[in-house]
Amino acid sequence: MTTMNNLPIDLVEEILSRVPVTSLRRIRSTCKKWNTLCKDGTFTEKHLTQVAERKGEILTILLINCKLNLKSVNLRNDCFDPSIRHRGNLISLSDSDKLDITRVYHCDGLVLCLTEDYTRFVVWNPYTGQTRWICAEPIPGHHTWLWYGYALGHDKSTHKVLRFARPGSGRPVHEIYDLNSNLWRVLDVTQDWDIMYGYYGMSLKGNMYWFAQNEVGRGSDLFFFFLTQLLLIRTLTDMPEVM
Amino acid sequence: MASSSTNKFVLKSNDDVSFEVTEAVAREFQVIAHIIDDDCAKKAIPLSNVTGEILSKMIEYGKKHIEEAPVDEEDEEGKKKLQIWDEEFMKQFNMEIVFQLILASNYLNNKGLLDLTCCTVADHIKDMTPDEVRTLFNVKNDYTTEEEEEIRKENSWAFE
Repeated sequence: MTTMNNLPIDLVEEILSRVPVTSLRRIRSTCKKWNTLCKDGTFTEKHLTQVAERKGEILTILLINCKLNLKSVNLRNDCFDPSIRHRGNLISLSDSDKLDITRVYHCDGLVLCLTEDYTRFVVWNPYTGQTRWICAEPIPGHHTWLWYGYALGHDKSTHKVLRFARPGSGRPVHEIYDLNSNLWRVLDVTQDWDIMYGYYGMSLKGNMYWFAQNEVGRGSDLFFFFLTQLLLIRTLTDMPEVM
Repeated sequence: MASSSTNKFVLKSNDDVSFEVTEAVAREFQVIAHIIDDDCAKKAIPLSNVTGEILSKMIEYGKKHIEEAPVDEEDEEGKKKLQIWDEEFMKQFNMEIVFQLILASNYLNNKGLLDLTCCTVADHIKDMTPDEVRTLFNVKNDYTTEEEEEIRKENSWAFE
């Protein structure tokens, strides 16, 4: 009898790549072969292509009222105007996890989620379901006057998380966490710029960008996080080639 | 030279059932199109991996997609009509036949039918629990209790 079990693996992949992303956790739990298949990078690419080509949909993650939502955006709906549809909510199987997310950063398919707890945050792969909790030392200073900035970036070998803090009193702190080595490293940065409170920056091709202000004057600079460095870009010609 | 709508070919299944089809229908299957292009299609074209039952359904699909092909990319009504026909077409099959159609459309290289049949299975399993999927498709649960717990931990966060 022909069944899913004795189909060649590439045809199993053809089928599973057409299952909605909200069903993939159950698919991975079915058997080892399917779990390995679904975690492969080529499967993810295939899955994303299927969604985009077949339905003309783009999947997006939205943070609404401290909850992460999966939405699909359809810009070429055949019969109606462009639409946004709700596709799923973030569900954790671990009761201890707090799912009140305060901020989200993304890079290369990974999502960095912050909660009210400044000493712990999570990097999550929404496709494979894997999470990595990262602990961070609280930075001394009165919290009312403490401004944290975060970024998620990558280079060829690893993803990195940047955290910087501007305490009301005391020295600014800049740290980078390497997801391969699981280590924090303190950066030696002379900070003569400032980022306005509430400005969270933008992620593009593995880097994070903010508008920063010169501490002395009022001129704006584009402040640039490049994996292991913090750079100030003052003119467009200073932009690195990755842009 | 005969046009592709009058030129006929005979497709022969592995259980010796023959079907006469127009060249246009035969060309719906890439593998057969190559045989025709290589001028190897003198007599009946034997298809060693497809039964008569499956081949007749594939020909029905191919014919419909030739006859009712949308006029162009902008023909939304035509596309919709064919999509509705596709959905009705798939409703007549049990899963055993759907899997045979997947294998055959892969073997004869018809991307449309492969997509349609794979989507049918995917739609069927999307709301099932792992246990239901295992029972339906005879998939063995090869996780130990410890591994099951490990997988649960690994997949702790997901959109559902």
